Amino acid sequence: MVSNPTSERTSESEDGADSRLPEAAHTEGSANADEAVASPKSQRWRPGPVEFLLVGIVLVVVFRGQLEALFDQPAWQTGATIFVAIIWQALPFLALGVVLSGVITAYIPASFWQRALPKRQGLAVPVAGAAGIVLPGCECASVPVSGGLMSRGVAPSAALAFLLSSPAINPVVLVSTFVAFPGVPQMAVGRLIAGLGAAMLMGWLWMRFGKNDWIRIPDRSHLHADTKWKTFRQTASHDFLHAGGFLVVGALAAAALNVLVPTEVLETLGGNPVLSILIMAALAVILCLCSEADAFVAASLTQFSLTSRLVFLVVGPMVDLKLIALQGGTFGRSFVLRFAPATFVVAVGVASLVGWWLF
Amino acid sequence: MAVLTREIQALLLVMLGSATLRISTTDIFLRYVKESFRPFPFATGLLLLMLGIWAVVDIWREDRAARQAADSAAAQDGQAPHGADLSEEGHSNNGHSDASHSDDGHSHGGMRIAWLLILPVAAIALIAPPSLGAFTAERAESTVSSSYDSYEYPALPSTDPVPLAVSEFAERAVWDNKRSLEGREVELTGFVSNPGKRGMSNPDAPWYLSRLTLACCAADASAIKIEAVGAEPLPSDTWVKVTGTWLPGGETDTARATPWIEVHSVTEIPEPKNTYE
Repeated sequence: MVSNPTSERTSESEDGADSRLPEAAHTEGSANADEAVASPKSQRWRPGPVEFLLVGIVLVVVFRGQLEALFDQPAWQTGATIFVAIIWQALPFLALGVVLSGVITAYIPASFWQRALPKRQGLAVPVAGAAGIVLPGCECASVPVSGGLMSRGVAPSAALAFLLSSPAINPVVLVSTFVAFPGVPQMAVGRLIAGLGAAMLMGWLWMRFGKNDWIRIPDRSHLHADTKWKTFRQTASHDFLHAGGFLVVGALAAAALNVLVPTEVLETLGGNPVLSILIMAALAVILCLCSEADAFVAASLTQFSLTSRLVFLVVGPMVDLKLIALQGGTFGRSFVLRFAPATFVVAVGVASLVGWWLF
Repeated sequence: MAVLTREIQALLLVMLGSATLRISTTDIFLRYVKESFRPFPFATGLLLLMLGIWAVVDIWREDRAARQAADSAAAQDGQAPHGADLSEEGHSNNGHSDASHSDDGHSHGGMRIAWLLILPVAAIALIAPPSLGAFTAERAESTVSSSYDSYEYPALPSTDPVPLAVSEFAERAVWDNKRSLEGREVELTGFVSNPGKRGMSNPDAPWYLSRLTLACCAADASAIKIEAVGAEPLPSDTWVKVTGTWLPGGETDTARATPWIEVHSVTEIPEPKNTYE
């Protein structure tokens, strides 16, 4: 298995290359270039997974002292702690999302979605957006679920509205927002309105302007095994490992920025109303907080206006570093390069308007 | 090429599942995520481990089926030298008929990203990074939120000194209209953080008695700091038990406040199991 590179495999992995993260993350850039030059038939030796593992283990053993010295420094320690914390806080939600996605793929026939959602896409978008209320997870769960929906024939616009709305407006998140802001129930209400509004707007924008070749809909056709149970297991394992890898990328970026960006300096700029909205939006992207916890953090950032804190709560579950990585992994890079900035602008705009109206 | 084969997928699932089970059943977990979240990673660890074991069983079964198919083909043929060739062919045929598996690895070129899941496993196995401490507290402003709407807190128990959580002490110092802390000897447990460039309201106060609180996980930690007035200087990250009395005069009625305590005694203690409040 490990060392029988067929010609098929070579060409396929090149096809996949454009939809992956930057090569730097893999250290395989040069190997890929070699591959492109070499004829696919060549039986040249190439390092396999076992070789990579062995080299990795040898490096760790040789440089263990340096590694430990590095992680004795408080900044590195803090970064490592935050990395591990984000991973193990998010994994359960990712697992939940992956299990639901597996159930959707294996057990729910495509015809169910045709009956459940309105035929007209313009109507399917708000219905799917409102359906986000029922998934009691945070943003990590909704990425694989909406991928599963698309692979079962749900229109991307509707699935995307669901993707954005469910982590922002589900009951767990709304209750925690309500608890975190005692005496300010408008915050939870504003979160519901702005979250749903921005999600539906993005769904409609995708319906109007989105192109199908921007998005890579997860293809499950090859995963259909002999039994539903086996399909379920294979889909779940595959989705979990795939999304998990991207979660690692996002958590690394979040941990690094958490240590490098002096958030206390940003916080001193909170007095200016426009600046405070932009800073809170940027903080939401950088900090990658779980949507079930972000309200408590927002509540403590008292030097910022209520409107800018609402922006923080609306942007966070829709655009943050780990979500960008997860969405890029699931739907492709050309998708996330367009979708994430557009969502950011729409979320900031809608949340500012709702905040201006409520507070 | 580090293409993700079925075997590697199974290996990654088993590794990550075991690591998740391990940290969710030990005190290490408390360094990263709030205690009440523990059941979720535990269930996730079980799930991943089961998926991994099932994947191994699948591989093992299919390999055996392939071998049996090859054997019976060889037996029918009855020619030993050719039998070896056939068994190899049988194997690769199996690989093709089972396209579902040999495909998973690379039809999504991005599957190679799954290799990165080794990083968190290695981080736990090799480093097991410690709880957040003074580095985080020194970078953050002290944050004291109030959990009572009325700002009128119930009276403290009558023990002397009263053991209090740092957060409880700070909350009463900043928000309590009834000033329940007044004249009471309290006992607080926290770690030492030293003032950075800013926030030194009293130059005689050498350090802050600090504690971090979590809403979910260490990424959302916020700091509570109490200025220790009249105490000998101590290095950051020293865990201490402090007795003393509230010193009114710090900021009140704002979430960004650093209350004061007049220190009577300081005892160094080992780091508690759960460093967060």
